Amino acid sequence: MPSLGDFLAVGAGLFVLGLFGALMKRTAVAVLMGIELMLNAANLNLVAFAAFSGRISGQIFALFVIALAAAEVAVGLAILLSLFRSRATVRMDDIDLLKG
Amino acid sequence: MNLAALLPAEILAGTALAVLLADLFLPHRDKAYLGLLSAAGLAAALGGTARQLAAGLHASLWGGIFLLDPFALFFQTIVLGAALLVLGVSLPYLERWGRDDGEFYALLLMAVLGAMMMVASRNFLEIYVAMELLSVSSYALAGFLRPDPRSGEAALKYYLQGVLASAALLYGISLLYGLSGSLDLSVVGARSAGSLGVVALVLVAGGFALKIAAVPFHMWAPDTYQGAPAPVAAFLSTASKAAAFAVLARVLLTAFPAAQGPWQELFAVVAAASMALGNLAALGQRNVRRMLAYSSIAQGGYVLIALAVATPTAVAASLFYLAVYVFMNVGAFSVLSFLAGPTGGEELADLDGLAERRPALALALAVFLISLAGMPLTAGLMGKLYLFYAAVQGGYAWLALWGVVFTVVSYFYYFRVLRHLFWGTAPPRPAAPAASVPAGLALGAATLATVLFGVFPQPLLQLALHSLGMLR
Amino acid sequence: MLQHSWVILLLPLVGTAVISILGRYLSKLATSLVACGVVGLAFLGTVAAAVQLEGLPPRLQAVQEVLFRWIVSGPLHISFGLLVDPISLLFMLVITGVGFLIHVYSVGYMGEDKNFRLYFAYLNLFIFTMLLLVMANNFLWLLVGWGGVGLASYLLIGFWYERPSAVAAAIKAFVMNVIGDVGIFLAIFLIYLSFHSVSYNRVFHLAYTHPAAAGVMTAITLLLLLGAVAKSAQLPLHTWLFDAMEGPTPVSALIHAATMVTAGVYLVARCYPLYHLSPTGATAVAVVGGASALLAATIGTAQTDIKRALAASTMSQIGYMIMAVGLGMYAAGLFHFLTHAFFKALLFMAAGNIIHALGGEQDLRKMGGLAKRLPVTYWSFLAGTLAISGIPGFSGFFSKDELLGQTLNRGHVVLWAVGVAAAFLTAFYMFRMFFLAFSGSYRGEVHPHGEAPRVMLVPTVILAVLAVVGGYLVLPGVWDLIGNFLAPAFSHWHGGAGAVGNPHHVNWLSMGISVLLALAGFGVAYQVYHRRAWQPAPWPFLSQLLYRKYYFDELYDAVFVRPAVRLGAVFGAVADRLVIDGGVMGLARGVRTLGNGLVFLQSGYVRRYALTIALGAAAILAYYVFWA
Repeated sequence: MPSLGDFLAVGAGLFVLGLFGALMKRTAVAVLMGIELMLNAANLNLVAFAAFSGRISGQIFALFVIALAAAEVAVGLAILLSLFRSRATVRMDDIDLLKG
Repeated sequence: MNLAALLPAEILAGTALAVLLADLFLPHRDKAYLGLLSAAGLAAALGGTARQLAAGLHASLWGGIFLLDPFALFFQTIVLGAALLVLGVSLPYLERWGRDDGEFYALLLMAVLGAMMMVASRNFLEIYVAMELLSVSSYALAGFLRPDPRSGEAALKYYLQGVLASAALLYGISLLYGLSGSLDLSVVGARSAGSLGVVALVLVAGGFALKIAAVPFHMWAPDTYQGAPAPVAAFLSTASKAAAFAVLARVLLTAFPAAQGPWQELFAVVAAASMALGNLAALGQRNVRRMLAYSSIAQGGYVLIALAVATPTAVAASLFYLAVYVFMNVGAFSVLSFLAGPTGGEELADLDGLAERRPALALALAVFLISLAGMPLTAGLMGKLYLFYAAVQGGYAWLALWGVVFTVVSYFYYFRVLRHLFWGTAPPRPAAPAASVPAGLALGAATLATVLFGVFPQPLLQLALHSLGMLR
Repeated sequence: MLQHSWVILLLPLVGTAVISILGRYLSKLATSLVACGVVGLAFLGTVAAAVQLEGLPPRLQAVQEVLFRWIVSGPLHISFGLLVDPISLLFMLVITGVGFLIHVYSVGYMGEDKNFRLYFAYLNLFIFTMLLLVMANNFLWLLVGWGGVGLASYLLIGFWYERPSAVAAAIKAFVMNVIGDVGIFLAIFLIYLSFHSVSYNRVFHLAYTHPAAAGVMTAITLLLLLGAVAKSAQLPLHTWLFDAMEGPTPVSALIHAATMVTAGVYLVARCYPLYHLSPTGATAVAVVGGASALLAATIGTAQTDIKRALAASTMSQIGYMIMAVGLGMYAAGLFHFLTHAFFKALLFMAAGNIIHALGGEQDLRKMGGLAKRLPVTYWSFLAGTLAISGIPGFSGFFSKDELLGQTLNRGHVVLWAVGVAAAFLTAFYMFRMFFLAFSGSYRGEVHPHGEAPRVMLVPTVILAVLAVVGGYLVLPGVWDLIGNFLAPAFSHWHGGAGAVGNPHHVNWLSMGISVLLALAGFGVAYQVYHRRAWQPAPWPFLSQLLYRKYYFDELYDAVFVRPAVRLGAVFGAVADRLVIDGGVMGLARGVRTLGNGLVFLQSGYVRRYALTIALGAAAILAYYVFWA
């Protein structure tokens, strides 16, 4: 049986991994995947805390997060799609009309 | 009892659904009615909230998940008022772009609903859900002008950074939950001491600071405010900012009063950096919308002084400032929305001689800018005066001095716009479209309020002080 | 009118608003009528108010009018009110009266300018802010007016924004004035901390009933002095005034001679109860004034640009005033302010006539022999020269001798000696200027036009008359109308004793010496410059030192400006933007140059944005976890 610390360590690892992906990946889709990892790191924390403390609110929160993340990603992909139509790219470094 | 107290929010949700549904069946030429329906819904919600505020409602709903106290109601009124102004300006704007579908109104109403719930939440789960509602609707609104690649870019940049920040926020919340075993604001802070608590607090604060566009979480703002539809930029820079500020203030003041020292320091630095960067970067801008974007980063800095000082006077001053800021900033963005077309039209040179072509618009913009600059007899000066005064009183004289210095710096770029408005020599160009009645009403109201609250700030100040009374 | 002095204040603002908003529909004539009309009406209103005030018993001669209470919640009470007392009335009379004449003069001088309306909008705005400065009844609104005149001055110095030198001059003036503004802001802050109020009435009252620590009073008075020094172009913040001559000449006459630069005199006179409590502060004021008077007078002897020479003279004359108010001789200082407003505005307008006739030429070396071609200007300039030099019978004689005589009466021998030395130099450089311009033969290349149009000549002549007769308001040993007028203002609070000198204590010794020295100055100038061709001075080092104004600009450049510029690309980019774009330049230039400067992070690349956020958050976290 892994301890709470193990879960938290995995969560922290996931968070850092996701953050790294979000910062370093060149295509928007990969960035989205990184952010998903970060959200799930939080989810893992919530669920682990809930399980080890016997409170249920963390698990409920995690359910909300899953639903909201889906909505978020749906909007994100819609934005990407519409941008892809007008610019024919999802490479982040090509998207630089607005700057200064 | 619970449902009755939330009537304004319910009206809003109902209107949003009704607009979405009706959008499916209405023929295109009748879509304008959707805007009017939304306006009616917003007005009803605004009226209801204002009544609750006037009556001094103080209700804890569903076991404390929601708290409708004067503080929340004050911000709900701000958000609803801003949204109503934005909606008025959006009607002709969307028509001109051929995007006057019901979706825009439904999205705007949803965003407002999210902001309303956010400021009344006392539970991290509810805060997160409400904030996501606001965020997701805002992302879609920012990218609403699909034919325009700048709009899409604005949305993508806001989206990616927004989602990143919300992931960090969520991770912070999960840590706080682990430390305290609760999601309730009144419980969390007391049990979240130690450096892990500080880490969590910074992550949470960063999530809100992004919405406020405070340095260093401001990077999205110039691009998004410039690329998004002008009314949306107006909404993001006012309503969304005010709601995030309200939650941040509530979290810090009610949940973490014990850790006050550190976060006061943090916000003093963040406020100072925002004032400096916003004002200095605005100096060089030739695109007026982008200049306003940097200016609103700086304005966010002024407001954040309140969190650094963290005295009741300071927080009341920030309430006052945010309320009047809604009028002047929505107003300024709105005037630009009349000028912009698919080919731009928001450069400084495009404003040349506007006073000749559209005297009323030019005068309104002048009032907003003078107020943003903080010149006498405008609401903006009163707000700044009160904020700086509170800072001095609260032992942050250096921050007030900093603010004064950068206020002087800001005169340069605000005044430059005035010069173009009134004294630029304009090449002949097609007349700007006539303002419709709702847009005219919205602009007129914003102008009037900017001047009125400058000359008679007293009632609003009293209201702000009163709204604060029951925060703790 | 006394109860409705807000009308006087608002009239020029109405003028600005009308010209700005309806400018497109107004002809040049209509613009002139509006701009001059509002100032003229304000002058009539001020005269009416002065007459009414004189009718009141002395102790009531300070009419406060609270226009509205701004904030009364909590501990913060700020109202906006006006204070009309003899001090503010004297300034209001000059601001609106001389201001009106200069407005009329400007109609001719700026007649051909393409930004004619903008000019008058700015000029009316200036009158409004200047009136606000002298009419406010508390320090906060004083500061608003103080900043406002700085803004108006900045706009008008940089009015010809196509000239890089004008823009640079405007920025220099603005920066130096902001230094002064910060001083006043800090002073107000200290005042508020000490007395919990910013209204003159309460502060001046509490300063005696609940005195603050002596150190605090000294700090307050010195900080106020910093503001006065910056605005009045006194040492060491004086360098901007010379460059400010880049503005149109009527602007130099109105703002940089008659009114705005005397705001420092007003400030010290207004705060006399505070200066009475701080001998250190008062002494500092007197010393700064005396030093500026002498130093500027020497600078004036070597300038070749007629306007810069007059600027040196302005700085020197204001030095006299500052010295007088520093010594507590308020009536004498304010009297000199009045006569100086007449003769210095006159000299600038006459210089403007010359510049107008010579098609923009300002170099004294290229003038000469203008007496026949510009007879009216010749006589006017002569009147001004006689007045400023202190030749008996002309206004400057009365005010300067009252000032110097009282200085000697009070035993300040060193400052008196400085004053008479400066008086000698004044006579010398003024007649030098006069002879170089009018005597001998014409040395320029351009063919001079004739006399300026009547719209410019009439105001010049009116001021010439005033410059001659203005001095008889105080006839030594006989009457002292200025003293009588001002006396009530110095009786409301403590510290006003001795503000008005005794007209019967005439110091004949001082008068005799200064008249002799003035005549000597005239004589030397006559010997060297009358009917002579231009010749370089025999001592190149000295004349270069004076011409370069003791190298203050070079010093500041080396000590402050260049290191600041070197601070890096960031600051450099900002400074560049300020100079190139400078708020007044509406030119579309260098859209992206700042992209490399301050906002280099705003690259448009969203990944870099995210990185900035992450690094920012990481820095904050690191701070808390490791250091706090």
